[in-house]
Amino acid sequence: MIEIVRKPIDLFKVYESIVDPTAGGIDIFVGTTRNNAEGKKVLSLEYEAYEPMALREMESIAANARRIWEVIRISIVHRIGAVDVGEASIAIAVSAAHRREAFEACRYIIDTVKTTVPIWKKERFTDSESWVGKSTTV
Amino acid sequence: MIVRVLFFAIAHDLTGTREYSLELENAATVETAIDILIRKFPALRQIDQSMKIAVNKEYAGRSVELQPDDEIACLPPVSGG
Repeated sequence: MIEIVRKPIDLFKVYESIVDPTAGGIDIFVGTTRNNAEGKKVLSLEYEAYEPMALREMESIAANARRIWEVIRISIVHRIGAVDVGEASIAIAVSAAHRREAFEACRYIIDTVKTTVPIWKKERFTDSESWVGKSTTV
Repeated sequence: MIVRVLFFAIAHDLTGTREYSLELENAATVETAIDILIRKFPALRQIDQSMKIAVNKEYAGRSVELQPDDEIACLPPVSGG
């Protein structure tokens, strides 16, 4: 299950999507929005995606993970639009016969998503807002 | 030839538009397209060094030759996750 959604991520659905009788371990990573950045209070976050390309990149990351580790199922779900503090912006779930592969593949996937998938986060502060990954404040 | 240019995140803020139809000579490269875009939208220069380009939804180097109707995306440093 590789998806971009505009509503809260249903974590149980993500879990269910990778359950498999041959799995001995399931690893789930959930990225949540933090209430502070660079010492300032964050009110909310807004994610924007180049959706068709982001989905392609997510598929390609999952395919790479499959080439490197023996995993059974992989799900990557990214939420876009406004995401309130404390809510999940991404969920990654991997099932494998053994925990080591599940942990390593899951970590690889989140690290790679953060560097290659065309999705951007804007932080809204009390007095300003700015895109993360770029110092310019607009 | 005409190519379609998309601007995301801060590139959208800096240009004030999400989409632009760019006229180029045949076989123009990504590099040429960026030069012309910066002339049209000078504020883009601020992120010229950090911006990546995708052609038809795949990352592309600046020497890539463009084809008519290509979709070029200006991608500032990503920050998803």
